This record gives sequence, structure tokens and C-alpha cells, in this order.
Amino acid sequence: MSSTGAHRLLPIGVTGIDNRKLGMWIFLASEVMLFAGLIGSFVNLRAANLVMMTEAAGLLNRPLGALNTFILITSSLTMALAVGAIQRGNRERLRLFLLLTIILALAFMGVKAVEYGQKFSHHYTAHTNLFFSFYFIMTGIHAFHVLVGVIVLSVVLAKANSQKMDALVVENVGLYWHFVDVVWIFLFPLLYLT
Amino acid sequence: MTEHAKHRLSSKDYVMVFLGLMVLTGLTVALSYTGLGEGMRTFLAFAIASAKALLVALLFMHLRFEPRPIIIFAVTPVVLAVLFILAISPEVGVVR
Repeated sequence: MSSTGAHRLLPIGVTGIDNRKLGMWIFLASEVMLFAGLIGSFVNLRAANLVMMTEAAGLLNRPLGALNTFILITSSLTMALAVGAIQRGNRERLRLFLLLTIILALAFMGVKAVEYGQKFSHHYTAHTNLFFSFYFIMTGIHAFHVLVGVIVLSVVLAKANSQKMDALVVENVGLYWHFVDVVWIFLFPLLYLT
Repeated sequence: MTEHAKHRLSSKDYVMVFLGLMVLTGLTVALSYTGLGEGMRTFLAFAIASAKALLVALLFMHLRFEPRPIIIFAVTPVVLAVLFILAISPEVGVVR
């Protein structure tokens, strides 16, 4: 890339960015395409079957969906504060905010379980119709991401005092967690509100 | 390096972002109860969700402070995703 000649060979890490962080962003890029496939298909099939889809969407529990949006956005705040804490070297605060993030993530999954329970008790399953197929697949894949987040956050919390746990590890987990939040930010209005 | 990205945002900044996200969430819920047309509601829902995603990406995910390679990795899939969604919508446009 440089015009100074072949004697100035660039080192392998030419970007100057930690490979772990670059790797996380590449992973998130693939995740964007996964959810784009689902959301794109849903938006189009919904437009093509508008009456049936909006009627089925009306069966969802809006207050619980809004509550979960609130919970997940709050967990993004606590995650951002956890990253800020370790960047300032405050591991006490790191542990506190990691714990809060995990609790909020579990609360999200709890609310989701209640919602699924309500749907199942009324015999609405992924086989009911096109809307519920998308609803269960999209929220299911999202909830799986939340579960993975809980596991990873718990590992980070358990090792929070280890010197191996540097700010970049926490930052990377944060990137993943914020992404899970962003996905829900799109799923909530798409499924519950339109 | 990521070094210069550190300490850019205070806890107060993060709380402000959080409050902004809350306001936008309230707005999107409120809009769903208005008598706006279906196409307009879907468009606004997407617009508000995009604004929220931008807030999260730029500030919570520190994209605002990241070097160009990371910006490219973050922006490219979003552009491709939008193109993909538009490409599979030849007849049934999202906004009608």
C-alpha cells in the first residue's frame, strides 16, 4: 500500500486493530446477513398477506413486548457501563455491571418464556400460520443469542479478576451484546407494532 | 489502536444514550396506536428502529471512535442487507 518501496514491508497486523476485535466485527457482519434474510422475507411475505399477518400480530402481548424492549435496552446500558468500568481499571464496578446485565438478560428470557407459554396455551405454535412461523423462528433465534450472551457474560464475570480478562475481551462481549439488542430493536416493532 | 477510543464517553453519556433510546421506544409504541396508514406505520417503525440502532452502534459500540477498517466491516453488511431486502421486494414494496 505504501509507495516507500519494498524494503518497508508491512507487518501482518497492518490494520493496527486487535485481531480479536476485527474477528468480532466480521462475525457480527455475518449475523447481520442472517437476520436480514429473516427480516427481509418476513417484510415481503407480510406485505403479500397483509390482513392475515396483521390480525395474527394483534394476538401478541404488546405490553410484554414493550417491557422486554425496556429490559434489553437497559441491559445494553449496564453492558456499556461494564466496558467503561474495565477501561478505567475498576474491576469491582465491572463485576457489578456484568451481574446486572446477566440479571436483565435472564429477565428478558423469563418474560419471553411467559409469552411463549401464553401462546402455547392458546395453541398458537410455529405451525399455526405464516406469522407465527416467523414469530417463533425470529424470536427463537434471538432468544438463543440471549442465552449465548448469558453464558459468555457469566464466564467473563467468573474470570473478572483474572489479568487475562483485559478490556478488549469485555469490549468484544459488549459488541455482541449490543448487537443482540439491535436485533430486538428491529424485531419488536416489526412483530408487535405494525 | 483502540487506546484512543478509551475514556471517550462517560457514564453520564451512556445514560443520555439510554434515555434517547427510551424516548424513541415510547415514540414507536405510541405511533402504533395512531390511525396512520399501514405503509406509513411500517416505514416509521423502520425509521425509528434504524435511528435507535444507529445510536447503539455509534455510541454503545463505539463505532464513532473506531478506525476505518472496522467502519467498513460494520457498514458493508448493512448496505448489503438493505439491498437484499429491496431486491426481493419487486412487487410488494414495503411502503406503498
